[in-house]
Amino acid sequence: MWAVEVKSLSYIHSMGTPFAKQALKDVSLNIAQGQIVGIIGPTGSGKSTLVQHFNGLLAPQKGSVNVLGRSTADKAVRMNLWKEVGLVFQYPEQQLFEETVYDDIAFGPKNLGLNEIEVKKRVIKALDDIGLPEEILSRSPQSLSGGMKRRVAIAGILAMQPKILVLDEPTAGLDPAAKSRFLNLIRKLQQSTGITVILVTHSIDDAAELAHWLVVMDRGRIALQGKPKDIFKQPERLIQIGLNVPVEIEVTRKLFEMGIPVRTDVLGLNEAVEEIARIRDRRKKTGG
Amino acid sequence: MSPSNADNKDVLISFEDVHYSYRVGPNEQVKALNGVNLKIRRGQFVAVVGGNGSGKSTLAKHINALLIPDRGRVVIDCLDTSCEQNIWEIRSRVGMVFQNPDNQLVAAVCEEDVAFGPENLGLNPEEIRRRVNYYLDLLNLAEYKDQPPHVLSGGQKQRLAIAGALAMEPQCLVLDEPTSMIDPAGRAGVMEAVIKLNRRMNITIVLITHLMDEVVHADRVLLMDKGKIIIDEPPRELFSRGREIDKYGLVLPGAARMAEKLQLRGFSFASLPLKTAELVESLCGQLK
Repeated sequence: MWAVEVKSLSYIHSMGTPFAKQALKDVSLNIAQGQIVGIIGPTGSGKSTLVQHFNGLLAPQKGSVNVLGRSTADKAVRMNLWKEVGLVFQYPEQQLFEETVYDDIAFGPKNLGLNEIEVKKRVIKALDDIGLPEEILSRSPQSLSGGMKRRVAIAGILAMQPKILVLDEPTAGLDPAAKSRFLNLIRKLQQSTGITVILVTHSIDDAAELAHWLVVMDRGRIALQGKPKDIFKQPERLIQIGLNVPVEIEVTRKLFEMGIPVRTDVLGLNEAVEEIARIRDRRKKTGG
Repeated sequence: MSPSNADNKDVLISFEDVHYSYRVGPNEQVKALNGVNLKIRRGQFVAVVGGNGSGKSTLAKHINALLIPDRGRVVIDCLDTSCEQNIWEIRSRVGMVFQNPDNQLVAAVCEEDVAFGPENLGLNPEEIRRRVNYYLDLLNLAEYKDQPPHVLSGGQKQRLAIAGALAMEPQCLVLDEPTSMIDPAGRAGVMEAVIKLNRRMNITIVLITHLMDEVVHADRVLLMDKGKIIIDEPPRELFSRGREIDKYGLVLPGAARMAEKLQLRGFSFASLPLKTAELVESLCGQLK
């Protein structure tokens, strides 16, 4: 069973009004359970509209969406998906509202109708999964740093024990060190819990570092999908869509344009450096 | 005129031993600025970096008197920010642009948004018209002047916010993570605009950012840690400190990271390349 199965999905915002805008056009994709999948694209490419179909916020207008084997065309299915698909919006720390960290994380599990003992167990487990110490449970969320607040917000979703976790721009506004800690944490979390993680971002670097599979969107359609190393073999396409490419690809492309016969399908800094050194050594040998 | 007087006239922004704390509870305070001393000359491009919670945004908000020091003094163009009658004069000299463009746009149509500031200055209609057209054109938004801001992309909205700030014809623009919520193509457009304002119109720029590829355009980088400025030097010097910058949560710009690896394979650089173009140029020389 796929975690998410999307077939020929189209969606028009404000349908039937003068403001109608096509957000998704004939989108098909499958997301396997237990994977980290990156959905990448510039602003307005349809990423958010797509993931809002995964937790029942939107119903398909055309085509179909199955989440964990059930069709979201069924309203009863959509109404219950919030328990299984945790959606973490951008800047989730702005949505913390309780007086203590404990109460904030406990909010979701309490709404699931769990008893106090089970709620407490889940709060502790979620806190541990996201790498926060128990001492902070009695503190006010507002007294925490930005990076910690964000982790508390995610713990609140994890405490519902969803099968799928959707993170929308999770590293926006984090400093480089906090960002790399955060990405490591998500990787560990996925490995220890087996949860399916869907990362929505316009940073292809972040997605490439974590994801097993990338889906690149452009103006409501899927432009590319595949393993990160295959996606990076098409830098022209990525640039044309308005995404960034890793620095080593930018450099090798420019060298190639200047007439240096360097390979441009390198993956990672080390491979690029070896390729450039190879060209130098060959030129030395031939005396050219 | 004595040299020290000339120096003073040249200084646009001055902080003298500035302290500031936020009140987070009845008896709880968080120290955000802890003795900041700083002078910024007219026309300088200054980047401010540091971890989340290091005091960057608090520093920015002191520049246009959104915050007033608890202790010490902030003087903008010889005007003390703690003097209430100076506030409007100061705000006409310092324009602010924040992270989220949606929170800064006020009007129903783009040209009205740019006109908002000049109208409040009580300028005559011809002058308002001139400024609106000039700044929309400068930020490459002329074709959208009759459009509502919501049709713009994130990067275009942020450029509109900059046009609105510029229409007040300030001497200084303070930008607080202006690109953290927009996609890479939008980012490039905003940075191009900022560089143009600084180089061509001699507008003083204070740019707060987590992105090292933006820092490289500055004349000078301030690194903040726990409410203090701990490093103040040109980007090339900062990034030449090597591994030392790790402990401040910074990373090298992409081109510099690649150059370091190339050095290990026997390439040499007169000075560490910070931009892709510099790296490519130097490599071309070494490969021919």
